[in-house]
Amino acid sequence: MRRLDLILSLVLLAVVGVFYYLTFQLQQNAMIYPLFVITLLFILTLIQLFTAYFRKTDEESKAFKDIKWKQLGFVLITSGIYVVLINILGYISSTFIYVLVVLIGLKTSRKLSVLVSIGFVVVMYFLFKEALNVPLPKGFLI
Amino acid sequence: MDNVLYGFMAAFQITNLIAALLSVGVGIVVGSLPGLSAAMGVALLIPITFGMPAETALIALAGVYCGAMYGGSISAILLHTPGTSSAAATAIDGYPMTLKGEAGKALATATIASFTGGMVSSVALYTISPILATLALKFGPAEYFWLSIFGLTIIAGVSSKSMLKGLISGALGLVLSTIGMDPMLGVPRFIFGSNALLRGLPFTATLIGLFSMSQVLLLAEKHLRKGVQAKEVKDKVHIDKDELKRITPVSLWSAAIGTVVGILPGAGGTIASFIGYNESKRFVKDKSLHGTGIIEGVAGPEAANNAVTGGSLIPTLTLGIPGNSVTAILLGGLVIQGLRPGPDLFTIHGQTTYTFFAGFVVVNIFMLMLGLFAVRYFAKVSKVQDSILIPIIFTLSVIGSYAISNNFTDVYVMFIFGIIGYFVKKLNLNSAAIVLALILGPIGETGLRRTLIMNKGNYLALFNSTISWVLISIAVLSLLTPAIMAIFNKRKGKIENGD
Repeated sequence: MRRLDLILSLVLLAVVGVFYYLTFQLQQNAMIYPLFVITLLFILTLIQLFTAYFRKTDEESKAFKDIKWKQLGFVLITSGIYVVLINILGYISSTFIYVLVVLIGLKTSRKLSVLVSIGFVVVMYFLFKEALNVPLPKGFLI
Repeated sequence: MDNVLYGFMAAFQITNLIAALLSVGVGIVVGSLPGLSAAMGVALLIPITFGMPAETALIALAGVYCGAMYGGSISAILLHTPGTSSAAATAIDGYPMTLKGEAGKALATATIASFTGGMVSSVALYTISPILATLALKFGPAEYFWLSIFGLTIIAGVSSKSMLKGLISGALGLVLSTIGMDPMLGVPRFIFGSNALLRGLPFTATLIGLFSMSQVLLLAEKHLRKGVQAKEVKDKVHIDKDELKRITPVSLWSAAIGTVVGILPGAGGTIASFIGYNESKRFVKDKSLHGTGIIEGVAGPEAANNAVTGGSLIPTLTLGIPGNSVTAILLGGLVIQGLRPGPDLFTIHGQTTYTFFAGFVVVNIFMLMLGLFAVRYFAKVSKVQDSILIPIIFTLSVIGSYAISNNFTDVYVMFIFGIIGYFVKKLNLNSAAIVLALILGPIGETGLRRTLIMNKGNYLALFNSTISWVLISIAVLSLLTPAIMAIFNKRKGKIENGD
């Protein structure tokens, strides 16, 4: 956990750095409150950094043990592509493709994958568009 | 009194009844699926309820909250895998009952106890909330500043695995809450060139990312659960008169405790249910029977965790300090509807609030009915494979974050916060503290800056009133709680060892 805590502290310090830099570009009156909260985060992060650095006993972190990285990467990347695709194809058609691809990728049986994708898209269309009147993102398809 | 009666009449309108019934059903499904949380369900529902009248929206959100709290018991009893962490204690006696062929009896006990918990807590909701809300009348800007500090320290200090990380989460949330327009001067801050961020981080999208998309990634990183074969419910979902007599005192006592635990910010369902389980031992003569499958062991934790629902709504609605992630999200839902916690909810918006309270009672009645008559069908849902849940939750997260303002930037924000939320959980930071800081940040900032403007920059004005000092004291106390508890436990250990 010690190593992870150190990395976390460094990432937070980077966030603090970016916000400090942007704060000093604000006009003086608008600067005070952000400066106050960023300094608060800065101090807490420093305490975290030092306690992690000087910690003698260390329990092994289970946070990233036994992770199926390939599976996680597959879901994250397809989800990212899906978000981009919605703007091009439209919500309904890209959702159908996304659900189908993820289901098959996660080794669900083909028949079930097709059934779930079609069923889900139909339900979504009627629930959001017809029942709740929520406009769905559009593209050149639907 | 007029408002109370009006509330009941309005809650029985057909739209509110349908909202209550459907949301309880959705809540039970979410709760019974291991890996999905009540917070996730409520976060995804906020955009759907956005266009509804405020009272209907709030009833629907409470329905998911109560349903999910109860639904956790179904998989705890049938699969030995609690659907939510609050149902972990239920599994101790619930699963052995299933193994003995008494799954139906265990489910009926859980349902009746949950109903008792919900009803007892609704009494507290009706009686304590208005009193606490009048206290908020005495609050000026300085008190609101300290209240937001107290809200953050209590959630960071009490409900986080590490207090330092809890505080860091709160501070990070405060920094993120400064994104958008300066509330006093109207100049943009930290908008990274995006006009969409002028109104601040889109709240709903941020919390859908933190609670729902992160859940997708957490499901995807593990070995996927394939349709687990849940044990069949062979007997009737029913308990007889004698058994009802046995569980009534346990349920009432645990419900009272659960309500109190719910009111205390930071504690929540898991703690309440373990206390409820321990308390159930008082009502059984032969202590060795606990863990072998007795109804008291199911009734205790279930009454306690459902009592938390009503209890936790009290500080949320009156002071605006939610004690757990679900009520933090619910508070967000309240703010989106244009309602602010505090005395106004019981005066100007009294009709809405009391309709919501009556709706809360209705929700619990529906929960009882669904639990007794339809639990077999819900038990089947808990078999759904993870591989199906993953894409479905993600597409719902996308449409949920888009629906509030029909703006695709919100979807990108959701995606980024989904990844952040994943690491937040992995590194033991506290997503509830981040969300709470996003809500309390602007309240605290306005309170602080108004006080300073009104007193020509004199910082001492922040310490002028007794209420401020009370809030400062309990904020400090909440930070010291872990240290006090450690000393207390050490002493207790010494006494037990005979030193």
